[in-house]
Amino acid sequence: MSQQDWELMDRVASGSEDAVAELYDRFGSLVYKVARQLLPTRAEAEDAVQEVFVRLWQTADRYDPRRAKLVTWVMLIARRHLIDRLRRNAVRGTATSFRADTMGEEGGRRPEHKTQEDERNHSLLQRIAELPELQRVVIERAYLQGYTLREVSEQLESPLGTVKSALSRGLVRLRERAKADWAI
Amino acid sequence: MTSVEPLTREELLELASLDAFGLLDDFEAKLFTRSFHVAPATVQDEVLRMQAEVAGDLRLLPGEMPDPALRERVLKAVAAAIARGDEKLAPLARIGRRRRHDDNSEDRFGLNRSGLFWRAASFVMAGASLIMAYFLAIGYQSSTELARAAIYADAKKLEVLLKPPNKTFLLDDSVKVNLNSVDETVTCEGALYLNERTRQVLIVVDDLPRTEGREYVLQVQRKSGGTEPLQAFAGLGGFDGIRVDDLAADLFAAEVTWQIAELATGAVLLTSAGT
Repeated sequence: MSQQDWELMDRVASGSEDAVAELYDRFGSLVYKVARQLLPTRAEAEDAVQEVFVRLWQTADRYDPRRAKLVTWVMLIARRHLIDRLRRNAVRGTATSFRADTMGEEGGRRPEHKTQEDERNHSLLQRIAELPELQRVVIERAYLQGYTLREVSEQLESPLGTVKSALSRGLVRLRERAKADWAI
Repeated sequence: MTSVEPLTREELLELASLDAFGLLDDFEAKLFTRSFHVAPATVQDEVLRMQAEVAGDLRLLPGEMPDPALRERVLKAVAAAIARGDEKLAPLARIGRRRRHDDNSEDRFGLNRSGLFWRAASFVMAGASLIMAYFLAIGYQSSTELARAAIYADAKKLEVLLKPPNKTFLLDDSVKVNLNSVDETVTCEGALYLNERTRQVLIVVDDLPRTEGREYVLQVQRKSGGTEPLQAFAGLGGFDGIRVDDLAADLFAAEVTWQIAELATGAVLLTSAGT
């Protein structure tokens, strides 16, 4: 796959519309979902997806299949762009409000499902709420709100290594729980 | 030569998901990349696999699907950006745009073997009289491994891979200067090995965008602010290793900032400032 991935990104870099379409068909949903997770409105997420794909075109010739599978590269570019956007627009407060809104009054322990579409996100927020305190806070701030680990470390007055481990373990635990839920 | 110990397999695996999500800070991301490059192939495969699993795991993401009309909007947005041309692109992105993809002689990683020597035969500017492609003679795979070891100051690997007099040049006689990307969204990085005794500098660059005919320049910025070009060279893509001879002696003693810039625009891509 990495040979085909490299060739695809080579064609994207050269401005092939077919290649951009293929890239979108493979990763459009993924990028949208990541955007939707981080941004408060559907409209913002859609704008961001367009920007991410322009960015993917701009950086296509830097893709190195030896360093990352294409899905990883796309996720990295997407998340970096989205975090930049969050910071640029100073919408962290909005994102936090959105989360608080969807998590309910008890810190997300009893999320109210507003729509069927939001169910997956609610499940994630519920799982996050069930994590140990430090893992929960670190994931909320770093993974969902775009704070750097250093910033989180300063906010919590916790050593950087502790924050890093908490995030890593929290993500592993989240994935394990998600896997178990999907298996049911 | 200073060196930070590479991360162990366990550390790499622990940080793999954070790296995939872009959650590591600049220093840690570079350490992760450096450690990844010097890790055994089996560990690299493990990391790549784990990162792909995490990055593509839809279970952590909202279930909401994009509007089907978004596809058309995205394609139009990209087409418009391409049509607008270069003016809104960052310098590094601009460099890559003109790469030809119809050159069948390029191998999987874009190394155009037939073009190696014309690329290396760049013209000479003030302060340098000779340039040579340093790693080309030993084969692409080995040169890549060697260049990575050089950038990441992996003394053990350099000891194994290098033969005299190159071993002496890098390990004993030279001072390593790190070059970091001025644009934190790209991973391009490199190093210079300054050899005051022979008045040579070896440029090792990780992943300068490769473009037919696109050239870069090694330059120094004096404390006074003036910039002095030393040597132009063409990007080989992947890991480049180029040695420049006959540098002015005062460069080694002076307080200068070393830079690699795009020759055509002067845009600085890598700098020793702050390293």
